[in-house]
Amino acid sequence: MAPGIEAISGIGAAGGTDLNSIAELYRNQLLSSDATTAGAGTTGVAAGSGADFAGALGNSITGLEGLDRNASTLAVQAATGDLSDIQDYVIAATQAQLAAQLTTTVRNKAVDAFNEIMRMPL
Amino acid sequence: MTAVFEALKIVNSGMQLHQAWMDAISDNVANINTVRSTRQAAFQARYVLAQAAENGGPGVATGGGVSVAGVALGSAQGRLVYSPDHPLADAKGYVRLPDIDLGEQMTDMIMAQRGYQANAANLDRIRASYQAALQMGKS
Amino acid sequence: MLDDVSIDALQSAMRGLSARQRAISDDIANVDTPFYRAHSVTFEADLKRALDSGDDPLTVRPTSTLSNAAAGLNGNNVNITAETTQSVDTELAYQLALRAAGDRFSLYRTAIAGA
Repeated sequence: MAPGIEAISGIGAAGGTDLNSIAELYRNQLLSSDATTAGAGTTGVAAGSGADFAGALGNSITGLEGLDRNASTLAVQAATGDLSDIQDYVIAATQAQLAAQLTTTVRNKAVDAFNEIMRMPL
Repeated sequence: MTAVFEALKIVNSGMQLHQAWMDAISDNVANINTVRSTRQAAFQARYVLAQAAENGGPGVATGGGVSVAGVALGSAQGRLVYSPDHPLADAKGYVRLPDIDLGEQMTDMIMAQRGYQANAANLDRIRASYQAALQMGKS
Repeated sequence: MLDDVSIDALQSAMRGLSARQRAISDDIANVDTPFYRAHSVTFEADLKRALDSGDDPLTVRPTSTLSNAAAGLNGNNVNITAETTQSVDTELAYQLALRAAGDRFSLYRTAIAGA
């Protein structure tokens, strides 16, 4: 019993610093998500530290804006009758929709994971 | 017609051409026994001249369908037929009849009809493919 | 995102396309009426001009003009083949505009609902 309690408190003592630092890193990265590399679409979430994950999330948000703008431009072209190839618009719209869903799902999972970490008894 | 989709404009041009062709053939066949006096020209058969339209839609190197380039007229001489009792007969008893071969006209009619039907079937296929494209990616 | 003009442009386009569809139905119904002249509806050029100059696309109204095509034996100048093809084209363009507007809305919905 005693070792167990010690073990838990040990985790709490050492883990307190780790948890705080991870949370701080996550918060900073997410708030300053004007990602330096503006890529279209997600390049996949890198395994490893929280910095890479938040960076990928920031990339996906910027990429989503680009896809959304592209789909919007093609939609306006469809309205004025300039779009002779339907598939251009449909593919762009599907990409934007999927990117939006991916971004929100990843964000939701990240928030859930964060909350769960916060809920962990220390 | 103002078309958003180039393929439909092209199909329409095909149908217009074959329709014009069928109209010309019907006119020829209707007038196959039109008698005129030798002082006038015979009824001349009409032949529709088709021309490919070179310019396709913007940014694409395909053609733009077909158009009626003009109408060529057949022989003005016609056939001289001996028919002295005819009110239009000249002094020698001849009248002018058109030089139209019914067999040739009916064969042309079958080709024109097939061409029109092929274009109409194409229209349905184009519509089906664009509608399938519109359903793409829908959840 | 909420101030993008594409939804208004699509709505204006759909108005023009349904006006065109009405004109086509009218022409097809009158295919045997003597001395009837076909009409055609245009709105794309006006819509493009409004969008380029930054005006509200919903102010664009479709305009209808009478056709000067050659008339047949009874004075009727409806070209039934062209009307049919135009009808197919208009229907497809309408479905495209409808799909585009629906996609814009579902994109917003994804962002709002977060799921």
